[in-house]
Amino acid sequence: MKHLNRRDFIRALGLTSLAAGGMGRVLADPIHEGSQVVDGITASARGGAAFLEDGKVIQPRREVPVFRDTDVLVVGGGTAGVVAALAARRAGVNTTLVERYGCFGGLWTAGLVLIVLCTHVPGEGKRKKMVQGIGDEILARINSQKHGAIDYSADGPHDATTDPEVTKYVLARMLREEGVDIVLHSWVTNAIMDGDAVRGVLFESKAGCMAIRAKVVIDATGDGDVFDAAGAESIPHVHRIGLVHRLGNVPVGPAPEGLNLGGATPIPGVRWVNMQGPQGDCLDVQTLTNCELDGRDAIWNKLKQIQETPGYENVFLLDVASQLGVRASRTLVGTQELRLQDTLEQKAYPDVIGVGGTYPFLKNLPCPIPYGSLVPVRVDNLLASGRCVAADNTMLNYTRLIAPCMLTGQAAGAAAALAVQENCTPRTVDVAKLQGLLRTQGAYLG
Amino acid sequence: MTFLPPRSGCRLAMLAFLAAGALFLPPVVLRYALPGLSPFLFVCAAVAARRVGLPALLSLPMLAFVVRRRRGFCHYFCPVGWLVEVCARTRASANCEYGRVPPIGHWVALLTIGGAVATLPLFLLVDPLALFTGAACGAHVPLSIPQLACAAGLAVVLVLSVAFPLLWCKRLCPLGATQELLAELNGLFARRVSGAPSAARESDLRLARRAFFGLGGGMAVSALAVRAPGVAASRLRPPGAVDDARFATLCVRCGNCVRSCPSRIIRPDVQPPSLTKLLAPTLSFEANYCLETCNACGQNCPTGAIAALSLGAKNACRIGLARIAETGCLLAVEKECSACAAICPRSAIFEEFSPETYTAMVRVDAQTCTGCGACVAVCPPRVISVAPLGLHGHAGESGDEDARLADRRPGMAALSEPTTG
Repeated sequence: MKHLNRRDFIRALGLTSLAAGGMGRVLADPIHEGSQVVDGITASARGGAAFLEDGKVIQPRREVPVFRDTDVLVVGGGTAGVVAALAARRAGVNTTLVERYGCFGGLWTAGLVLIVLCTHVPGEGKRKKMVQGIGDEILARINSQKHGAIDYSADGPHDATTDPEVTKYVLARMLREEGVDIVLHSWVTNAIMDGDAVRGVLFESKAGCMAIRAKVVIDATGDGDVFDAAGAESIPHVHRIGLVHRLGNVPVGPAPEGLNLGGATPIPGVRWVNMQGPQGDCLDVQTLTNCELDGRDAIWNKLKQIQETPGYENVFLLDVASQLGVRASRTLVGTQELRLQDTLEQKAYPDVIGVGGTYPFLKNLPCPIPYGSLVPVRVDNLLASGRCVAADNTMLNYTRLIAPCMLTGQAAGAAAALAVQENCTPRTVDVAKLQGLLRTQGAYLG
Repeated sequence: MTFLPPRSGCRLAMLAFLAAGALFLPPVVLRYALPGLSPFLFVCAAVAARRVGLPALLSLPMLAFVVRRRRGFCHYFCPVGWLVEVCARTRASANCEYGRVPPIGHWVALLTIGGAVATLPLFLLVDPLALFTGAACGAHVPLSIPQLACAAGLAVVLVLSVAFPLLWCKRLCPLGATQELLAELNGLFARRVSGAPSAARESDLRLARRAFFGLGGGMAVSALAVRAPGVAASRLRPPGAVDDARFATLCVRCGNCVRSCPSRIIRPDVQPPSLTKLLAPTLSFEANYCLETCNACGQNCPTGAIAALSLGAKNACRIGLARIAETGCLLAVEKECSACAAICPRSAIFEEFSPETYTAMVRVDAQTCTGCGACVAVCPPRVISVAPLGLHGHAGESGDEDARLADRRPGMAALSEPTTG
């Protein structure tokens, strides 16, 4: 068994700094022939290769290098994760955000789900904005960019649609301005446990497996990868898996009967087309593979049909989402579950951390979200946010939308920061203080 | 007070009881009181619905009483009779002899009872007690159309009584006529038993002839009406309603169901497919649906037109079948929506994915859907409607289609329902 020696460890660190902030470093030295020979990449951070023992594949036991220590670690750079990181950082704690791809926004950007639903409730004549705070700040900033958003307003009749590239840019800018430590291209694979308490995570990158130690971890993976690894109870779901795409050069005017040209985007002539897709287990890699391949085929088949329609010959496929449209996989078993019946009865939660706009099955009612839906029943130092929070079979169709993800993200970030500052666990955070902090961050709590 | 008709005390007490029932007691009290008090209503409803419920506890003693005491109900209990007599006393000198007016009440009563035998109690809703309670009940809630209709019917009776004092009671009222017929029958029976000289009396023959033609005519008419084509339901009725042809006659339009419905989905039918179904309760799911926590309409129906079902039986009872129009459904145009499937209390709406077109669509499981209407109001593009059931409990035209879909359900259910782990 090979232990990580000091030299290997330094090498690993060197490699990571190359990966994380490395462009400047690489550019500092002159490059010849398009590349430069550097200190060799080895398998040291993996502790050596896996090996066979009685026909079974065995991973070597070894010490995992610690990449970073942080106060709050947010896993997943989708809507919930970005808002959580911003909220935690603004509350004054060191915050690290790990994202598996190279951009922020998750399904909102890489998934091309461009409409921000349920930010408002109907009011007298005009709609009333429910989703305020950091989420609305992001939307406002996107809207201030040229071709950033359409239909964004305080009380307008429509939900805002944003441009994915503008959104990616704005999210990254805001994170960098606040000083959030960003780790991209890194896939969190496991939790570090100390009894029932989470102490950090392991993640895989090109440099192998490394650890990030954190006082509080926020699971914004959407699939609940972290709380599942930590042993928290969760409920598995099967839901439709779609693949969204954008069309370019689409003529203005109503689409002919039977032709689905999707919704408008901030770019003239470009429309985004949603896809429902088949139901499947989003945690099964073969299902995801099939959905990806079948979805692309279906998109090209539908495009052919569009291009055969007179007047639409020049429509082209602009892009297909780089992330599958996973709607639900795991939801947390929280100390409180968001239930349809409770919401329809407008149950008052003493620990409300956000109020979302309405959605068709909510019959024009707003949706208060309790803090308990973010808190695992048993595991400590861990909060859920985004799509995987505790919600029943119906309400997960609400919590998975962008605007509710903003709310649960901000609440998780603020609560995690409070827990660090008060030296307590998220479970024992003073709810009144949390609500106070959320209000100072602009959140609307009803 | 000399102005008051005889035996006013008893009848005023009845009036007060009904008024109190209408104002303060839950509508269910009238379910027991109304057919219990009116022998005409009780006999016809019991025969037509083929069911004798708890109201019989009140009805049978009343029936026994009116058999022995000719027009006992009129004399001691009838609140309408009392009002008619008060009206009559405003015209003390008027002629109250109507010997030459045919006994219309007898014919109405006989036709209705005969009809009830063939399940259609033809003129049940002219029962004066039904008119009275329909008009008086629910004074504490906003006026409803059936209430106004009953009040109008009662007003007609009273105006008639001012113009022709006591004509209603003596010649028109089917409730009074029922009592007379019962008493006649009893007299005939008593004479038979006592072995008195059996020379056929002219009045007995007349009665027998009237009974033969009245009962027979009623039976024939209602038997023909029941078998007539086109009687399949074209209206949604409250859960537990009897078949539509019977419903139109068994329902006395008292409005109890309309008033007792907490979701206010029961409405008097103002645009009926035929005039006989005017103001019969029908359902509208525009704003709400038939709650799974409620069985009030049947519990409050005085005649059994809507069966008094237990909550479990009511929830299993099929009102209709939800239909989702394919064009307009948001899911079919790839928009995020599952409002109908989410709200369905019986999980009868499921998603179906077509690998050929690569699109999803929501379907209704015809075996599970009860037509409660929960999906109608939540559908954002409003493309869901509930189709009334046909004669044999199957939904209208494309029942086969739904059965075919239902067969495909199990596989989808396994996929769409989450397992707790």
